[in-house]
Amino acid sequence: MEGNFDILLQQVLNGLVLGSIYALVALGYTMVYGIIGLINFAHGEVVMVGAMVTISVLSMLAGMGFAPGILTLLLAIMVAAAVCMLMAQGMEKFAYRPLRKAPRLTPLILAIGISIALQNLAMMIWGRGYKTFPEVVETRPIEVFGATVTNVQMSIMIISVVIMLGLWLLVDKTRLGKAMRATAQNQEVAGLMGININRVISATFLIGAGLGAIAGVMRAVNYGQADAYMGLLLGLKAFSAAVLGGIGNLFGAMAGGLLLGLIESLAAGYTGHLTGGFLGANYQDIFAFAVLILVLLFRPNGLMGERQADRA
Amino acid sequence: MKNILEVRDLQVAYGAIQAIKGIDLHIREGEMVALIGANGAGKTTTLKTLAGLLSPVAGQITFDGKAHAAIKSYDLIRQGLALVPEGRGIFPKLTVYENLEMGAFSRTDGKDAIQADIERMFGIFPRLKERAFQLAGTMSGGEQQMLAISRALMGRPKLLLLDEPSMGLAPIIVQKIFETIVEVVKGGVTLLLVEQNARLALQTCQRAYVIDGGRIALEGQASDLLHNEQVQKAYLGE
Repeated sequence: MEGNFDILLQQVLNGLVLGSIYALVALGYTMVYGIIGLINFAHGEVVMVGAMVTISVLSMLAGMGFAPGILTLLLAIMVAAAVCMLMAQGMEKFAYRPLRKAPRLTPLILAIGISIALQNLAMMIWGRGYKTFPEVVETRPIEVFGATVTNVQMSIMIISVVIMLGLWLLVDKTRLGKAMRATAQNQEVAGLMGININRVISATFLIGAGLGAIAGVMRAVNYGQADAYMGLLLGLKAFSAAVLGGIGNLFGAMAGGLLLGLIESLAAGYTGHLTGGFLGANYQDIFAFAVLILVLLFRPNGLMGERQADRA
Repeated sequence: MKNILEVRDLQVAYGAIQAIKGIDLHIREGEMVALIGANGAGKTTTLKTLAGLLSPVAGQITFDGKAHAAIKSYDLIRQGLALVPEGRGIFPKLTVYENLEMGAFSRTDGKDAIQADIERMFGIFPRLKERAFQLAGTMSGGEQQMLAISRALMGRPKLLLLDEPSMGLAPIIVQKIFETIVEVVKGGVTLLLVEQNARLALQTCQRAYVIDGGRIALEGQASDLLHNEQVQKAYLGE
């Protein structure tokens, strides 16, 4: 039985690593939805750009003679986050803002269009194939009760938790956070209180893009590679996680992300076993969407959601 | 007394439909003025325009000596103009206390002054103190109206625009709210009150405008209008 427990623990740990990444991406979807009711389908591409820019900057820095290490990585991530934030801000200001009073479907279709455009733009810049994430920090295994995680995976989980705590503090305690919550509940009245809602909405996009960039890097580090299409599947899964938790709800996105990571990881680990080898671990991707369908059928408001996700 | 608000030939349209077809009005500092009229006459549209939520297609508004059009809508509260919107517009998922804090969002005079004002609001409406840490959306309509008015006052406005404060409330609550409004105004706030309950509005205010079809049909002392035959027939049901 001990061997079984090891496998279970290993899958749980893998799931938490995966889930941390989903949660960070899901937060970007849910924050934007919460404040302007838009599902920003281009968010997955922001995440992808975060990963690709980091890889490019790292190889540039290596070419300039920077020694690989944490500082070099941090510098690259900062550049990538800045690029993503700039992109998100541009999107909000020039694409979504003019459509704020348009029917819901219009900005949604635009978001899908931006997503496709960014994918192709990324393909033109970085090519069709995948880019290897350079080994800037030495990967070491850490043993946890018989299961193994790497120091990198451990960092992913810890950094995610720290970021989520920080976000919660920001939204709950700060002036910007209060303005965000008020704007989400009633834009018009938030304006009457003296809140510049354009700035608040812009800030929301910026924060979401920053989280997305970091998540993109985590995902690229974890798999050792990234490509121009990675945003599509990752984005859809994170969106499923946001819906699972209750779109518009911050804790929902965090919980939904972690839960989805666990479901996927456990499913990947046990489907082969449970179906007698008929379905293998490569069916892992269907579970996120099975969960999405089930949630939409039986609990459309998600686990923690109060708002109906019916506005598309 | 100088005019805190002057409106000249104001016209407002929703797309092709012109809701306000040219109105003139003025309010002197410290006055209580009512704007009464039937459903769809343009009362709420007028207030929304004054609060910067709608843009006029023509006309001038001067607020406190400044051109209204030059002030960004979210800066109006900093200049001293607050609106309590129709339907109250409280933040349902913030607590009562947080709603009051939001009312003071534009202020820069420090936490202590804001805290003192919250206490003052709790003094005026003790019900709000009892429910300070309850989500505002869970309160009754009357309590929400008290909160909406208090929240607007937290911005320390010079001019308070009140849109239908009696809407959907029991008469006894309406009475309490109006008594409080009068008290507050005596404390140095100028009031423009929009009401469907014309009698109540005319009894509360000193002057009034009657709006009909997007134009000012009548204006004068509230006590005169209360006895005006036309007003009595059309708005007081006599």
